[in-house]
Amino acid sequence: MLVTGTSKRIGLSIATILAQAGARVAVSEAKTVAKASICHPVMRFARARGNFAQMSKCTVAARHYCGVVGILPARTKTKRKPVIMKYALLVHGSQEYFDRGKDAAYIAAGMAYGEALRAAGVFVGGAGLRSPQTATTVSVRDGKRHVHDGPYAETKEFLGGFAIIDVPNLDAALEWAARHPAASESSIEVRPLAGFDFSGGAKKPS
Amino acid sequence: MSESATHAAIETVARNSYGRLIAFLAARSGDVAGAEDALGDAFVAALERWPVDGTPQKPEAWLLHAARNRLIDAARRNQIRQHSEKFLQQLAEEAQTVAATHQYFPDERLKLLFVCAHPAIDAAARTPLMLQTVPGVDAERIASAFLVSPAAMAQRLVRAKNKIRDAAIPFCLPDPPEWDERIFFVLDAIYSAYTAGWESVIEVSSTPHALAGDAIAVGRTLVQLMPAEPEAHGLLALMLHCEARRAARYTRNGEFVPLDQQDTARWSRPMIDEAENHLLSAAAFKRMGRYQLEAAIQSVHASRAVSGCINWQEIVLLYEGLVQIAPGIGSLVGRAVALAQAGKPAAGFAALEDIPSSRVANYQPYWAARGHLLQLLKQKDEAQKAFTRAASLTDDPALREYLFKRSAGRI
Repeated sequence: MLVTGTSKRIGLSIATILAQAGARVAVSEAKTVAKASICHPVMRFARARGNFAQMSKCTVAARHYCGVVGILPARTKTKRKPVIMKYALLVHGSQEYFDRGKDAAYIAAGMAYGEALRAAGVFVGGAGLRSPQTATTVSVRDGKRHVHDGPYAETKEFLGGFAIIDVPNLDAALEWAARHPAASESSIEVRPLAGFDFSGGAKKPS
Repeated sequence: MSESATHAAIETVARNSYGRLIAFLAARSGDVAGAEDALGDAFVAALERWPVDGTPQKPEAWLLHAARNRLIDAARRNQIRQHSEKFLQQLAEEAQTVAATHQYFPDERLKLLFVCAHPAIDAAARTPLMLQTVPGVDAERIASAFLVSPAAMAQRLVRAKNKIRDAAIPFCLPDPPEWDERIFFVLDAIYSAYTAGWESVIEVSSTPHALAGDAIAVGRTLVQLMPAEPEAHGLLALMLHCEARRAARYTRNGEFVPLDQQDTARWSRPMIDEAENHLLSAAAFKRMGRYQLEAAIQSVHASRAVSGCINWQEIVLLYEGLVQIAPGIGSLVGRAVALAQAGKPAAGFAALEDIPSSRVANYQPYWAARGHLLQLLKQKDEAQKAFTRAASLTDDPALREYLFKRSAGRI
């Protein structure tokens, strides 16, 4: 007996596509919530256009190459590339990791990484943080200021530092995260920035 | 043209080009959900227009044009036309180029496959996302194969699509250093679709079975898009070898039949031949890999149809290679069984004992293998316990019955 396998399967039908559209309507509520909270349509299209213009792999490769070998790419201030995506690289480390903060090799590795980010022209900002013992947490409830010692969460890992980078897409951000000197012993959370920041107000379409 | 003929024409385009159209639109916008919405609307427009105007000469170009119009409408509704004009302009130009010059438009499905199987996507969403976008499998069918509710699956897919768009996962092929790691995710996602369609299946018409066919279709697409990747050939060969035996896995009365006792006359020869051809193509590249080795093991089993016997010695060698590169629990158990079948039951049992017990507690094949090896070693009581435990770990009624029979020593 011959197994007909795939030929027995009725292929994609128009009904399927319409059903898929229907299924999307069914979850439209969830989707609307997600859309409203995460992505305004302006951002969506601005980003879409940006991705298209910027996706050229050689641009990314060249920037990385410059970063690795330490060549400053020829960039003029007047012709700045449009802001496409910014990502926060958040370093999560254990107490032992923070205890190494005064280690000379550790500091040198951090400096070199920062230099590489600058040389590649992707560095927006960032710093290492002092240990969680130095932290103070503030909140305001009903107009009253509450101050207490230390970070809120009773976790084993703390935010140990951050960098904001400006790269075309997630893969480029992940590459930079993997190069972070802390990546081999701590972990780096990569988060896209929302479409606005405190310094520049709403992101302007270029 | 009659309405039914138009519908048939639209279905043909959908069947042949849906994945390519989605990939083309999504690769340019970075937004899979947006591409699906626009293309869905374009198909609706086709249902309205084609019966009146006739089927266009280049249906794909017509649909791309319509999808682009939908994107413009959406942009207008959101009063963001000025911001998106450039992107839409580009899309319009490309759609025109497609219509004017090429018979077909650029195939971006490989990029889409890499995006769906991107390590930044939730592992549980990769295979469903791939099935929904590339061959266009209905979301409900995917949900039932993965044993989750349609609503939960829809949520999972929406989250994954939002992540692609909002985190800007790029639609591009990875560079050589990442290639091997990334291709592994693509192959893994396809194989997961196949295994979801493989397990607990009796009726040929069941949903999971159809999913196995979908997985093979994606495997064929991958080979077509990456003819020089031996592991793509290896994966397709593996799936085809398994699929060729589907009818022989159970007797006509629905009883489970183990692989080495299956009636080879019930195996599909065309599928075996196709599998063998792909394994040969893979071998020509002289780059060994996990899926090629697994396919080669199945190929040795398949040769029983011709030779009437199984060369277990050869299978042992292949498993030795497999555990070197993929020391998964499945390959470790397989190697132990092969050793025993090759005349070394004590060595096989020792290999089983070497697997850390924490990894095998709920792994049914381990307990079935253990029972089998203990039986070979004439340890009846221990064998019975192992088979009983195996029987309690499967969700396939026919397999459960078979394992209980072995436990009772009736086979």
